[in-house]
Amino acid sequence: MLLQEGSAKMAKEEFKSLEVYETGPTLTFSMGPQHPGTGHFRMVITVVGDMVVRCDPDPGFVHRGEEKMCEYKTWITNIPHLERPAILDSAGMTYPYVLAVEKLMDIEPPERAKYLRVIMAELQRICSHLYWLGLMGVFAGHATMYMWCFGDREYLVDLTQLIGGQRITHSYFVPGGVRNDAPPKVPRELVKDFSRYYRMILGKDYPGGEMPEDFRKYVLAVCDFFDARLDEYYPMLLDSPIFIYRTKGIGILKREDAISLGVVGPVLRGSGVKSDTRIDEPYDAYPYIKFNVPTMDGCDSYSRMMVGYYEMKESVKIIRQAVEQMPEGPVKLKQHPVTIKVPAGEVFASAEAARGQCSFYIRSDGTDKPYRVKICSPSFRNLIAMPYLIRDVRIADIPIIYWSLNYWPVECDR
Amino acid sequence: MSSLILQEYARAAANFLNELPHPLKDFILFLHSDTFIKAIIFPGLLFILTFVMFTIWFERKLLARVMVRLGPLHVGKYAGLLQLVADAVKLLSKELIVPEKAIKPLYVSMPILCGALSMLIFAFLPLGPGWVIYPSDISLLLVFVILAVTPITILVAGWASRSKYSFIGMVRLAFQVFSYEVPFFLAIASITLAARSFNLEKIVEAQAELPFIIPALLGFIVFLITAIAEVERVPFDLPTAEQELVSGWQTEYTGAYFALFYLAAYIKLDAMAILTALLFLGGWHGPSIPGIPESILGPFWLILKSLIVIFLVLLLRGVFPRITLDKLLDIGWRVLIPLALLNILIVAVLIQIGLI
Amino acid sequence: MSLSDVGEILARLIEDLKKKFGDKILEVNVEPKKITKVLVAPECIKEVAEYLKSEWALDYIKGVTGIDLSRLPNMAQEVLEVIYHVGSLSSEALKAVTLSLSTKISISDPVMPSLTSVWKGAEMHEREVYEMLGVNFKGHPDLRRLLLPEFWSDKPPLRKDYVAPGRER
Repeated sequence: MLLQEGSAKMAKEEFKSLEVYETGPTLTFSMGPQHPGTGHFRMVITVVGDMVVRCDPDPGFVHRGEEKMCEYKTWITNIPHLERPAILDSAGMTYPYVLAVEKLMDIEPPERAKYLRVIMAELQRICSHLYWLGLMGVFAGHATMYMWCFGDREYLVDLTQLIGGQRITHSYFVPGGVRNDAPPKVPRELVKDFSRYYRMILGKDYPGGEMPEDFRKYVLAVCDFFDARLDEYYPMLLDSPIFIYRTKGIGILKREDAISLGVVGPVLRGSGVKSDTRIDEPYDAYPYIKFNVPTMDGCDSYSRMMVGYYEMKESVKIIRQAVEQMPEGPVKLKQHPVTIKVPAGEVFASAEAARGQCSFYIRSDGTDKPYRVKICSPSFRNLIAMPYLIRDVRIADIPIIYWSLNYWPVECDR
Repeated sequence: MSSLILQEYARAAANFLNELPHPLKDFILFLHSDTFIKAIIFPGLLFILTFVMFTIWFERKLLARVMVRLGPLHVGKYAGLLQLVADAVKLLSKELIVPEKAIKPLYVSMPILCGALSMLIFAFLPLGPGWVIYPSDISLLLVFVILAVTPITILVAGWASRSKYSFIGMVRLAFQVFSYEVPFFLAIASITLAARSFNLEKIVEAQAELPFIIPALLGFIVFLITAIAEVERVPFDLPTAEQELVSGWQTEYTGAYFALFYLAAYIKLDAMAILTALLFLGGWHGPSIPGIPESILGPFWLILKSLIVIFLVLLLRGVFPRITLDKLLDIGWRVLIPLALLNILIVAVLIQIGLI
Repeated sequence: MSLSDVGEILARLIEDLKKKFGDKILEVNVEPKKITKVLVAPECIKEVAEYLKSEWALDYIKGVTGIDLSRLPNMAQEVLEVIYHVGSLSSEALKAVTLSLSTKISISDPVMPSLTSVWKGAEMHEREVYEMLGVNFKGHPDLRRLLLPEFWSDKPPLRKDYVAPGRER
């Protein structure tokens, strides 16, 4: 019933069958693109009273033609602009591209680079999920969660800067390794700042006195801090009775529907499907690291958010292991000039970005520029779930369902 | 010598006043009367504005503390005390935009009416023994009437905006306010029963020994919840829910119009807090401090009590998400009204036994 | 799952496809670790897709790529290629598999059957290919523009003869 026809047509037919709504007049309004609840994205919503009978998503307000741009730029200069669609998760967006180019060139990065990549990808996953959780709070009318998440995110972003040189868009991954090595020591100011914040938030000194300046130990300290903070997030928002009332049973995407619609990431795992590219098609250092893939069987907005929450915990675990196991050695095969030539061929590579599986199809004709780059971004694949979920719900549930999909308009539009 | 000159001047002024036509003379005499000074200074305008300014500053600082932020810092000598003045200047200097499709006379007049009506509440709120602008035997009823009328101005404003978001916000407000007025009034009814009066001053007098929160605890809880809903505070801020309706019924309002609505919302919040203190927390009764006259100590205790209520209400914003309309109405009709009726029963029984 | 297992499964899959459809499979491109591509004619792509979904449980659509092949070296005629990247979630053993099912259509008459009846999730992907390369999917429930603005009146932008403004070189 749910999946018989396409979204628009189906909504129309469904509308006829809902006789109870036919008593009232409909009101159609567009949510976005200038709306605090959607971002650069528009949904045309039709309501009868307080019930939504139709939602027509209309992306494209931030489409910048990444795929066309890739055809004009060289293999290396593509990396910085490819991370723009998802700046919160720039590692997730460039990871599959770099993997694809490496597969085409038939090279493999050194061991240390593999671990650095994993650390970076997981840091960005946490940053992105923190943004998700914080804005989930805002969308539920809970501004405190947002401020907490963003305050704590700051120190993870600092860590990103320490490793990659930039806070958010670092262009850290290059074919054949990473751009630069992590520093052996953390700047004294950062350590001081972080230990002050640690004391202020957790109300105690770092166990063992001084905050360490050694890179590995500092990363572990940040992980400890963040673990403690995650335990505080739970009662603040995720266990709050109002939040549970607002998200449980809202926006149900059944297991079969999730698979046939082709959704990815926490949305898929929130519907009880255990699928994670890091496990299914392990790449780089992931095979050497032990971690779980959290799934929830609730299939609703709450399950999706909780999957995101547990994924943060798993990411902390991964970072700990990666930092401890990381060997010494070189971090890239060789310094690439701006123009490299990639052998002709085609490749389909995937990596697990924060919002789900991100895949690249790349076709090379043997020149210094790609012939075709296709980005299958996670938000684009989750977009289709929107008309199916935002139906027969109340207006107040729209932002909750919308944000439980962790939809990022720029990543969808590319 | 100089006092002689002063006396001359005073006599001349009195003569001048006597020669004036009657309405003008009455007006000038009114300017010197007790009522006018009260209306302008203490329980009136200046006090309201200061209290509201303090409330907003307090909210910003308190929420900043909850959210691990700093809050306003720079305007004003201490901790951004005058931030609101800067905000007001910014809002007042903005262009006044009236949407093309809006019904202009209604659209423009409603913010003014809303602000004026919410300030009018303070005319009947006694802030201490004798500290009331308009003493009346039915002051509680008058306050309730004004509280019931103010949402209508907002409804009209939402309607006159001719915007879809304003419309949805307006409808939500109508649901919320009109369904929560019932338990609100039922909670107040138990107090009038216990005090046997509609006069707020007499109600406070009746609490000299025992604040009504103790016999009417249920009523207090119902009253506080409904009061929060009436002033549209989190978790009951559905009519202006930002993520759903941009800004609800306020969406189209800018500049000074918006400032008036903003002011009205906080005036209502303060009035509710003072009303809670008056009805349930014993009003201006409190331990006496030697050396301070009773007439100053009364308002002090009352304001302190209302500040505690304000603190509670503001803190809710830091810890609760917003609830949905169906849940809101559900609580209102299925929980709060039975509770309020039960409360009336308890109070009535207590009166029959002779405990109050 | 190790790589050899995936390769084995894919090899079995392609053997099965060849046995079942014979000449309808025009070309098979298997490059370990890179891509496994099966090229079929547009007329029978739906048939193959239905077979893949029902027999091999490939029920999870990962993406739909459209390519304008006209500027590739050694390309005789101007064609568009549409590739469906599909995987499986209902079968544990096939989780690591990605099969690319592709078809070639001429650029002058870009019509092919829509596969939304086989894979629901292809709806948005096909809408994107429709606007970006001008491929007309027959049987698509709601073939409208997705990302491009309503006022777009130029060529489909991902075709090779469309030159982005400011990048004429």
